[in-house]
Amino acid sequence: MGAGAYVGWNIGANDTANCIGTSVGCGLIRFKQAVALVAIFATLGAVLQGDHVMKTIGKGIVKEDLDYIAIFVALLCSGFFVTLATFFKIPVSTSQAIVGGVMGIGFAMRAKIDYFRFITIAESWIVCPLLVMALAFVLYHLLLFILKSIRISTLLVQNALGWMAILSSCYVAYAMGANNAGNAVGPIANLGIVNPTILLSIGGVSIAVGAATYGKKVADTVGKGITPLDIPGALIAQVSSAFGMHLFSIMGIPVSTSSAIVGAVVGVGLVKGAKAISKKTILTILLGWILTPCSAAAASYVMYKAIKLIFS
Amino acid sequence: MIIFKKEKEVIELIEKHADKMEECLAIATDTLQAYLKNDISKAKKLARQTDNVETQADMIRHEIRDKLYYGAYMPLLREDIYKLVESIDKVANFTEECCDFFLNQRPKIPDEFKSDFSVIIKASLGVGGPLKHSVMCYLKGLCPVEVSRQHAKDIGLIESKVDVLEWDLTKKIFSSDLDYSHKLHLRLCLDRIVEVSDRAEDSADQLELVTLKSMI
Repeated sequence: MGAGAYVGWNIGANDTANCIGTSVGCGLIRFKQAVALVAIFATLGAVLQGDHVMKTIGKGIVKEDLDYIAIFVALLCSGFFVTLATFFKIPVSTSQAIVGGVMGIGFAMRAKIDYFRFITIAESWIVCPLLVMALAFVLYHLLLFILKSIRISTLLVQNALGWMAILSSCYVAYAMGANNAGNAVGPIANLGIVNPTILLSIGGVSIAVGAATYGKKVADTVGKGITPLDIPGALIAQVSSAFGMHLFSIMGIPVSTSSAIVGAVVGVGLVKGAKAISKKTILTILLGWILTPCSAAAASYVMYKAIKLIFS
Repeated sequence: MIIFKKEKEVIELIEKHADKMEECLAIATDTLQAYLKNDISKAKKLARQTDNVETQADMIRHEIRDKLYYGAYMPLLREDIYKLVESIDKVANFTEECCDFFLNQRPKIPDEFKSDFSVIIKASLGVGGPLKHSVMCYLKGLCPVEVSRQHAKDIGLIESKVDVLEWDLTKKIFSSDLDYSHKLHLRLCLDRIVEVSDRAEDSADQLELVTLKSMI
């Protein structure tokens, strides 16, 4: 349970920043206000719609019941690498880390692994950011066309878009709670010792605490580091990532808010041209996305083997 | 429409404020022209009117500030809007000060400079109309943002023309046979007059900054 809460905290510290990073980055709301919104909506999302992903994470990939040690190791290793990435301000995927951790355990246990399921999830890691990037690019162009066609007060439009961006932050927080709380408590759900609703509540609250205590670093990378965002850009990035995430959440596939929002922010930035995007930041993020699941898998494998060797 | 009622009220108040600024400049122009014609009693009467209109503009500015800080517009936009209003208010303030300067210190304008002063007064204080137009064009969405920005740049051009007039008149004053103290006093008069178009240019710069954030 402690390891699950730790992963939840990690999600809050790293991924939660992604749903508020754009709004905070363009100056719409202060970080503390944004965290309060995340606390409410992520917990609601976890409790009301988090069970789809929890089932996938808990039982979908490794076709064997995981023991306490296996779950502890998977959560600990994935959590460690996400914390490390958060320290370096890299928005990495907690979903990928936890899937990597579970895979590592699966290999160590020589358990039967559902490769088809794994490939489906891995495909989504590539497809999701690309899909969201294209969506953001198209939506931003559409918004520009509409704004230039209508003749109303630009200030009123900016004000309306600002409110919509904040509402979309809440929507993304909800979607994140629905999608990512399952990552934190999914493996524990497999043990069947705690009521799933309580588990999801713990996942949601852990996310909120993570956002409040360590979320600002990654929020700055997403909101300011990739490309400078204005109010319409922040709105489009959030709406696009929310749609992408909600879509995958309904399908029961754990995707990362990081990959969705990074894809969306890049899509918005591309409208202004490739020069508007910080290539160094993007390369660092991509490296983080590759290294995190691989490191989590390797560390879980080694740690589980070592523990079994010592205690047997 | 019920939504954004407070925000629309703010725009209406800014329009009222800009109207007062324009009115203030128009009355001040008449005040200074009356002064140049040595009609001091008329100038005094008009100067009091200028003061009144400027006070009314101040009251509207306070109302705008209250509405903004009681929740109209998002904090991100609020500060820019209020800075713009303050910059417009400064134009009216400096206009009032200009009239006060003439009527308190009663500078003696030699006849050979009166037509030059008249021209520069019209040019500098005539900036009220274009400034109001450029602000309202943007705030009410009467024209595209790019056009609003062009209007703001046009105010900069007006200010440049005033600068040229100021330069020529300064040269004329200092190459005349007047006492040095008289020359300096006339120079001070000139400073007060051109200060109005300078402040209008600052306001246009603020408008440009606001519009820049809306350029998508």
